[in-house]
Amino acid sequence: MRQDAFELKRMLIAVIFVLIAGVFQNTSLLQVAGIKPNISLAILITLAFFLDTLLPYLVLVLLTGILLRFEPGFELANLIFTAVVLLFFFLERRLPGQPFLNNLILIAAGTLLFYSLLDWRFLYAEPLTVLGEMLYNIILGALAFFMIGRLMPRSLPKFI
Amino acid sequence: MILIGLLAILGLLFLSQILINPKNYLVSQVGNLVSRPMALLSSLIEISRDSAEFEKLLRENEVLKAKILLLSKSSYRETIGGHEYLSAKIYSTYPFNNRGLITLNAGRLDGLKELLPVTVGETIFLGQLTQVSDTSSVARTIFDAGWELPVKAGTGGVDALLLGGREPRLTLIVKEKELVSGADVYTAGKDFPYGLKIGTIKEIFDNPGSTFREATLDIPYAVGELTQVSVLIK
Repeated sequence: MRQDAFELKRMLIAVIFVLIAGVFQNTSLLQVAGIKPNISLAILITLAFFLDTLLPYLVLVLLTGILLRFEPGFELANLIFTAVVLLFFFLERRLPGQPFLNNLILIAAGTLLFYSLLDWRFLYAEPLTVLGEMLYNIILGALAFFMIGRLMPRSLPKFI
Repeated sequence: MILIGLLAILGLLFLSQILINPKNYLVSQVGNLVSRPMALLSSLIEISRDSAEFEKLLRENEVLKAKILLLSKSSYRETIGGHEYLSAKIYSTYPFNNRGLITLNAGRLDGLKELLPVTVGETIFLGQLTQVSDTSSVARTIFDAGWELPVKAGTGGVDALLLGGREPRLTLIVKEKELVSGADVYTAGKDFPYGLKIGTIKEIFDNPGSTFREATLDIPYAVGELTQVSVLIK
């Protein structure tokens, strides 16, 4: 029972992170020098390190997908975004080394992969924008890793 | 079991589009809520600006307050210089950097239709409506990578092509034509009213292998800080 409540609390925290990221992603509030971070990507990749099973993660990914819907009709960007974060959920489990560093590497790779699949011309048309966004995403990912690590411990705290 | 049910519902919502308008409204409200303390913080940081500038801003502020008062007591439509405009709030901005799209809180029911020009402060060209639904619309802006539109620059009306992107720039400027930094750049395409200002020339570059020059632009507003735009109805 206590374990269930603990898991529910972790999931609620994850949902709050995803909702905040989704709202920011739809505004220009975090835009710096014309560059908007992909905070939703950074948060979802970071959350992959703290969630053990696919189903709760899929809930978070779909929730983000709903928040990122921009236009009516089919949206390739949304589909690619979903595919990239799901791919990285599985990839995260196969990476050796420190989770913190792996998180930053996956966020950088995710930013590149996302634009490569969505609009590869954008990569060479505006390389500075892509690099700037990648750096911005990495910084947000590092902060998110620290915060989520504090708020969503993996195991139940032991009280005597 | 509950989780699978939740997933099915979320999956359906993900594929459908019924939540786009409520989501845009929510984002707009939360965005406004968050932007106020952020604006306060940034104004505190910039408090050291010189007093002349401060006095000028105060006067502008009073004019804007009067305008807000007027607008709040009347329709959002206004006629300036023989043109009719509709003021609309920016609901949300395209989530990623590769497109420069914005969603507005006005649509077909407010008299909007595709291809209408969108401006900042009625006279500065920002973009064009590309999708219009009953209550909202999507506008493509000059910050959209890949958008090209014919423009003119300077008092001599030098022809150029504006290339959209995070930093819009001019290309295809003939070398023989005289153009200086600070010259106004304005619309000259058949799809928009002639002479809407876009910005001013910042720096001109000579391309040794080409008969054309390129130029960067100074845009007179920060696109990230825009919350309201005008749509030129007629």
